[in-house]
Amino acid sequence: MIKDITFGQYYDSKSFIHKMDPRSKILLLILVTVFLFIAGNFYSQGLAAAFIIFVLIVTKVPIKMYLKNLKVILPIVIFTSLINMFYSGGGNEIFKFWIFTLTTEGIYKAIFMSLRIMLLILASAVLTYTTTPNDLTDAIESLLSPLKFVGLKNAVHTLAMMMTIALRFIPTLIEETEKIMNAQKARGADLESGNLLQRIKALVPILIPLLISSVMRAFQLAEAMECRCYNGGVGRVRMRKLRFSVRDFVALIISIFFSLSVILLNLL
Amino acid sequence: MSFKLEVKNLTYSYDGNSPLKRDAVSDISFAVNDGEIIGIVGHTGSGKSTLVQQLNGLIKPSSGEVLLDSKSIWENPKEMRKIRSKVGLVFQYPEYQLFEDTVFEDIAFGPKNMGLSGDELKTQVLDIARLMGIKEEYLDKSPFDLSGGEKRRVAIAGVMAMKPEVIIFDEPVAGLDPKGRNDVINMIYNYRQAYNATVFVVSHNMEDMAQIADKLIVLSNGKLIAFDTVEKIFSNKAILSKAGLNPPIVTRVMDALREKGIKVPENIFTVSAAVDFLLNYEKEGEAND
Repeated sequence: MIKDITFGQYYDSKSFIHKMDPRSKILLLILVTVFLFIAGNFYSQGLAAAFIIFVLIVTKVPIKMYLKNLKVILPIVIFTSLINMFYSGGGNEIFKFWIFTLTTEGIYKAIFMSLRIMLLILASAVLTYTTTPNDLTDAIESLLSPLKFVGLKNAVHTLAMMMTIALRFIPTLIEETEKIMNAQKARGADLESGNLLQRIKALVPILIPLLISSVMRAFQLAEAMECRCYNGGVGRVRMRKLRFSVRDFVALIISIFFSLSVILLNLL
Repeated sequence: MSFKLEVKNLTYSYDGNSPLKRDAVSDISFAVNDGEIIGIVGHTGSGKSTLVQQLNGLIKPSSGEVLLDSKSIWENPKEMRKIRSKVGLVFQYPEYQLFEDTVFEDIAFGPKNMGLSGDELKTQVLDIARLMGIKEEYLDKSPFDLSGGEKRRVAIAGVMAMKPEVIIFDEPVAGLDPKGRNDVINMIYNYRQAYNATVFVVSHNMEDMAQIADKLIVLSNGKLIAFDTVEKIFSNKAILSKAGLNPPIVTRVMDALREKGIKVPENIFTVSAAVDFLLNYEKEGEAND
């Protein structure tokens, strides 16, 4: 049950995009996201959809995995399209009921907005499916490194280290939670029945041991790091250096081509 | 004849229907009586923990049954909490499950969940604390102020306080110093003595087993490869080596002596038995000279 929560969705299918530098993936995702919002009519959005489907195919990640992502945001998509459908105004009125007015413009907007949301989700899923959590934090650290010139010398490294540690300990924490839950269940703890208040109270015997052991583990980790002379980011070098390659250049060209086309199609 | 706890063709598979399916425990059957101390031994990953978690219904077996007093524990899943108060399970490193403000409250958590309150609750907690050698002045302390060994004892007492008829210990002495180890072993004996309970002890340390257990269940790759008295299993080297385990060091020393031509009996598995035998042997030798 707890184990069913997926975290870090990396799917190792060794595609062109997997081998790209994570920094360029993040930057290109930002670029594509911006142009998804710039795409103002159905022609440019059609191009965006085609482009993103092309990228999905290139990743070699099974389409089922992407659909799973879409399923999660389905309620949001439905909600926004309903709002758009009845409150956009303009266009020809199709029918009216109480405070709801359905117009052609409304239907148009609803389709447009839900497509945009779905494309956004798919685009960001490409990043998480093709990049390991560690690569992601490395990339964020590297991209934020200019901040050190504005007086945030150690902050970027510290932030990245915190993210790395947090990601590393999620599976450990899940395992620990299951262990403690089982131990308290063996002592007759009732986690499955009762009203809301009783259920919240029933969590106390799990949360307290979990909190204590997490704090203890944090102290131990800090000590273990200090024993190995860790003293923050200054002077540290990386085992794996991030490097831009021809791939990133190719991806950049394609993305720029996509962006220009969106602008052109917008004029139609 | 009816047994206290009976396990019939118990099988548990991970990843049920997927191609990755593998049996953590496969086709295990055994039966035990009141008052027996049963050791469960096996290599890491042999299925010991998966087996014991099925005995109190934390894991539902894929097939087979667990019978407590001749009734399947899964007969009425709503009553599972009652089963768990009858079959107590002390996990590995139980001190990590402590959470209450005071030792008393923590020991009382299990009995409270059974529905006890007031004086009844108080007597039951005090009974167990006395039996387990937890001093009364400790009961008002915070469990987090205790030493490692003391925490372990309090946590074990927390399970015993439900007065289970069957109690299972998963690696109860792991990581304890010799004094803590002896304290815990004494707790197990005292509990069995006082309530004539059936006790299971999971361990991969054969020295502990030789000292604690009456009978042994030997697991290897999820299968039961032997269920017999400690004497029979320790004198049958084929079984232990099949399970990837070593007999106690004392037994190996005695084997070496036997090879040197000294007539050593087959049933020496503990240091104290070996000392007795060797002192006796020395006396007899002097007498013969």
